[in-house]
Amino acid sequence: MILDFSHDERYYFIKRTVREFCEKVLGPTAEEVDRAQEFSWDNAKKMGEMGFWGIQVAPEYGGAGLDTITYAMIIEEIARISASESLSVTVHNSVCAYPIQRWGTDKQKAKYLPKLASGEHIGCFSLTEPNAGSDVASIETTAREVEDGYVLNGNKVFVTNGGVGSTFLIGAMTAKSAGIKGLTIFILEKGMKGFIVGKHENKLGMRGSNTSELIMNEVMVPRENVLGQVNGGFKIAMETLNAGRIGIAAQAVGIGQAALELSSSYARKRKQFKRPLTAFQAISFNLADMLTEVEMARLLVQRAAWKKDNHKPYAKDAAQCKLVASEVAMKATTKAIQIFGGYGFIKDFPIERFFRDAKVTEIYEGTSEVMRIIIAQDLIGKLTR
Amino acid sequence: MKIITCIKQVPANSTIKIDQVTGHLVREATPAILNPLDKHSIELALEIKESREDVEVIAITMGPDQARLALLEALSMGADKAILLSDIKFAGSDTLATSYTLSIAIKKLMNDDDNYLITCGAQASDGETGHVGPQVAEELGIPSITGASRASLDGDVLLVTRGKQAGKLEQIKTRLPALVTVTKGVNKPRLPTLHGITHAFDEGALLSVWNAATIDADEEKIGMAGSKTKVSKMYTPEPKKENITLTGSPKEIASKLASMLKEKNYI
Ligand SMILES: Cc1cc2nc3c(=O)[nH]c(=O)nc-3n(C[C@@H](O)[C@H](O)[C@H](O)COP(=O)(O)OP(=O)(O)OC[C@H]3O[C@@H](n4cnc5c(N)ncnc54)[C@H](O)[C@@H]3O)c2cc1C
Ligand SMILES: Cc1cc2nc3c(=O)[nH]c(=O)nc-3n(C[C@H](O)[C@H](O)[C@H](O)COP(=O)(O)OP(=O)(O)OC[C@H]3O[C@@H](n4cnc5c(N)ncnc54)[C@H](O)[C@@H]3O)c2cc1C
Repeated sequence: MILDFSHDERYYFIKRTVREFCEKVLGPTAEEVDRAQEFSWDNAKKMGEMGFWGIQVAPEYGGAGLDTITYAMIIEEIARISASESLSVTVHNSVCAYPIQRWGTDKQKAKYLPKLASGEHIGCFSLTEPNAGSDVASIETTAREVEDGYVLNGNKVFVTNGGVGSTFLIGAMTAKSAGIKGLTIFILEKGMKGFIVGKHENKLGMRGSNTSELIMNEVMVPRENVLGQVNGGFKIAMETLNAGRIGIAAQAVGIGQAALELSSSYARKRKQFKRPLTAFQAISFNLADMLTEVEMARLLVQRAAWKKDNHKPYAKDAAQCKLVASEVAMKATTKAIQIFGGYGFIKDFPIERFFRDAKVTEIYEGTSEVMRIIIAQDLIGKLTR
Repeated sequence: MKIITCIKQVPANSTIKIDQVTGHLVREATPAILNPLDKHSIELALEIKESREDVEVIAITMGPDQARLALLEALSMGADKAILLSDIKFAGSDTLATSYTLSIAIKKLMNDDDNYLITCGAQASDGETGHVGPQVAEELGIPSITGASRASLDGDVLLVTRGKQAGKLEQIKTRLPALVTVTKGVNKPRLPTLHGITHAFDEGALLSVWNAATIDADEEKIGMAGSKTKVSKMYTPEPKKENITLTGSPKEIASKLASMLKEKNYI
């Protein structure tokens, strides 16, 4: 065997089960979750019963211990029905539970992972600040060393799950002058003194996912809550984002898949000039392009996931799949609205929601420009080596 | 005590293909699913298990190797063990041979212990005879209650509510051992969880495969040899009546429809 595109029975059984859950449980509430712009605790609880909050957490900590290829498939299935809920789930799993499992001490793992895996605690990962977006080195939040730990001060913005979270990974400067070599990741808990949730953002899309500001005012964090090494946070952050990007890319594939399914079934039913829209080549070629591009993006996601599972370097692959999948999601939802015509523009049909949800996949966990920088650096690095 | 839940793998109904020569279902060609009612019968077993301390749930099916997936589904939902009865000698079984085979497997499993309940679907979505449950009970010499819309177990007393004609319900009680067949209304089956699925698929030891020799089957009573019925022909009936298309304004269509229904005494 040189290359095998098949999956095992377990994979298909999980896919079928997750799809049934998403269609039955998340489907009926997806429109309302978007409209109300509220994280649904009710759905979160049901997703917890299914095991969605601990997809890759090791079984000894209460997770399902699945591989990244299966993980990506689950995120895609959730996004196909309710993209904003797939955001809450992928951030929790891939940029909170995953780094704790990978770099945490035994004590940290035992303390945080079981509650994260069950969904009793929702997890967050926060680097972005008002003056530090793509440029992580400009982080201004400081961590001042004191006798038994660190005192954190600063403001974080755009924190997914910020307002509903209990476990927070926060990037702060332990050595300000050292730039990225002075970054440390801390585990903060809801309710720590001086740690408060600020504004809840009003968003274009992903409205069922909570995005909040976090304010730290003299927050005392014990030394045992440092994740990995002091001043070693940049490496953790970058590797965490590599993993996270596979989840975001899978989410984008799910959005593209939804756009494809919604618009192709609409085109088959809608008649103009006495023929279904699918009889017009202008429409059917667009559907053909959507199908091909969605499958292309999915293959890139699976390659990156396979490399991660097999412990091969995958930073470039993760950037590529996120770059492609997010652009495919934008194109597919744009074409889908065109196929729906005026009906695509009104809120009676879910396609406008997917269109709004798609855009941010080109922005968070690194913008498309940043993805191109990573891919180019990998390419040029190899050329000069 | 043990709860034995008999499950059947059936073709996903939209894709059934019939072999024009033999009149049999072409099973290999169609995607297979767990018989929908059997999900309710597994759920009933699991609900009873969760309400007391002493229950072990065992799913059992007679079928080809691919029926393994139906058992894995039962294990994913929470059954403790699963048994696949698979042997080329079982091929061609009608409901009588199927029931005989299931019943001797259950005898072997219970090993003279009388403390058990059997749950079945009221019927399978393909064969749809509804024979297998009651026939298994008959083979075992135990009472059976069919078509349960509610069922519960109190000590060793099984209490079942079932529909009678004209919308009436009746309640029946029996002592274990007993067999019950269930309808859709009995409960809402759970979906397997990710943990359940990984447990089922990764713990190979939960599923055993038994053949005719394992259960000491009488070769005259199994498979084609043990089947008293033979399918002579299977076909898709031709639609007999023409469709009627009503035209006019919605109001006219509605009143035409109403008078047609009245004419036929439907309303
Ligand atoms: C008209 C007819 C056509 C048939 N065609 C074929 C054919 O094409 N190919 C073929 O292989 N067989 C065929 N059979 C025979 C056989 O496989 C039956 O399908 C089988 O005996 C079950 O009968 P049923 O489907 O009516 O189940 P029912 O009696 O309606 O099933 C009720 C319940 O019994 C239990 N049960 C049924 N079957 C099993 C099983 N195998 N293992 C465990 N539990 C079970 C389940 O709980 C199920 O919900 C046919 C039988 C009939 C009567
Ligand atoms: C809904 C939502 C959820 C989010 N969740 C989280 C979260 O959970 N945790 C978290 O830490 N952050 C989160 N973010 C923040 C997100 O990761 C940032 O918005 C993103 O990294 C971009 O940063 P910025 O918004 O400051 O844009 P900037 O960095 O200011 O970028 C603006 C534009 O300039 C481009 N640009 C910047 N630098 C370069 C360059 N060197 N070369 C070429 N182009 C460049 C960018 O690509 C972009 O187009 C979230 C954002 C949103 C909208």
